[in-house]
Amino acid sequence: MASQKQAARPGKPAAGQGGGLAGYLATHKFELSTLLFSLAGLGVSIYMVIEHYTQNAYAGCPQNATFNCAKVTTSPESVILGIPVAVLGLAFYLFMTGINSPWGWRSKLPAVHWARLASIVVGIVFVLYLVYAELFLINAICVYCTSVHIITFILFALIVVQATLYGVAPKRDAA
Amino acid sequence: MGKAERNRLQNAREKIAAQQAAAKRAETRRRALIAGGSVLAVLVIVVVLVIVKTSGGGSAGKSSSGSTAATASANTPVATSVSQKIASVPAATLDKVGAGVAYPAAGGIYPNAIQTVKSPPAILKSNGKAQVVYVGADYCPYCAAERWALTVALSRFGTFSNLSLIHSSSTDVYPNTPTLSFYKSSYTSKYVVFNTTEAQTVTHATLQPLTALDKTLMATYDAPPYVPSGYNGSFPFVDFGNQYVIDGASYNPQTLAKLTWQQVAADLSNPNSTVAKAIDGTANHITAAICKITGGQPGNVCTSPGVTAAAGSI
Repeated sequence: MASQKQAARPGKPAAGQGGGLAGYLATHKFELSTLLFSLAGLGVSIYMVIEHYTQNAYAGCPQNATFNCAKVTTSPESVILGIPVAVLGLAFYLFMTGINSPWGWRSKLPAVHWARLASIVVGIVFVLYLVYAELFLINAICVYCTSVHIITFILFALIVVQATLYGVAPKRDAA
Repeated sequence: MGKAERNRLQNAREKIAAQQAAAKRAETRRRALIAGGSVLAVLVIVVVLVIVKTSGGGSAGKSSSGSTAATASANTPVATSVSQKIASVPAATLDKVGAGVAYPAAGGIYPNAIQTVKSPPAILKSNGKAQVVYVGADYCPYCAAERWALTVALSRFGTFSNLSLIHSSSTDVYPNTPTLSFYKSSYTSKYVVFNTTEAQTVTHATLQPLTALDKTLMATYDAPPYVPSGYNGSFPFVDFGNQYVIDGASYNPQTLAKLTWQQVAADLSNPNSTVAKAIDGTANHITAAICKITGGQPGNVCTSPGVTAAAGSI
């Protein structure tokens, strides 16, 4: 009788480590990383939306010829098609947090995994536009915006590397 | 099946397995290249943007008055060393200078430099923020003096960008007074909107046409009784929310004679210098006027000793 070998899938729980969410996260460090970075981006986005609609006084943001959070976030470039960029960022990170959750990664729908890849590509293109706008149109850098840009870049790197090395819709363990 | 046949089959299987392994390795390399290349491409784009910016390319200054210019002045972008000193005059220096010294002492401030509007209307606002309107010209030596104080004062409420360095006319009184120009600059603030019009270049060519608002305000507040008869429409003109006005320089432009921009900027922080007494003292008066129209915001600026001292004279 041919022996039954375990499939060489990334992140398959080792025997005896236990199931459930905690077990999944312990053995799926890549997916955990994307979730953590998504949550970090979500946290900063929430703060920026609050400040956009209230004081625009970003705590700890220097105010000089180079760095000026208020100048960036109150500029004409901070609104696109009538929607504040801060709100767009919040919507993006709400989506990324959901789709990078264990339930998102374990989804059997290929559309979910393709949506993850497509949205992060759109996100990084938008980040490149925002960097251009800060440097050439607004002539100021927003520290909080830059932190979100860095988080988006890290997520882009993680998701693109995972998609190209293991496929966009990899087979996962049964839920 | 004979032994030879078995060996041939075994070799074939091994060859196929080797070919499959090589193909798999090539595929993995290709995917790694795509992944690495994508990430690297994004990094390269950002680095290129930063390099282009820091090497001085592509700066898009915005004119805060929104109007187009027939000819551009030959302005030098303000050096960071100068703009930083203007934007960061120590609060202790401003407090020590206080209301400044009265004219005709060296560095003295002219009496009634800031005039209170008689029977003022509602505070002039734009998008819910109090509005300050400046009209001047690059050639104008009195504007040259006043712009330093305006910039120091307004830097306490917001941020300037794309200021440029010029000298006033070489053929006018107080020739070649070092100063800034508001032409193509922009200003952002949570508290106040600052509209500027530099009407003429250093050589009196038309630069920015007066806006409808400029004309309306000047017709009322750059006319008697705020200026002597016959001095209607004089520069500089500054309107603080229709509550206070400046018609002319607040101190003698001679204070800045033969100084470089860097020297003026450096002296701003020395409360014992003639430059600081004139510019910072005027800035405190201007700040007090702006505080009146912003409802005392920001609190730390508007309740500072220097501004409180200057507020008594407006």
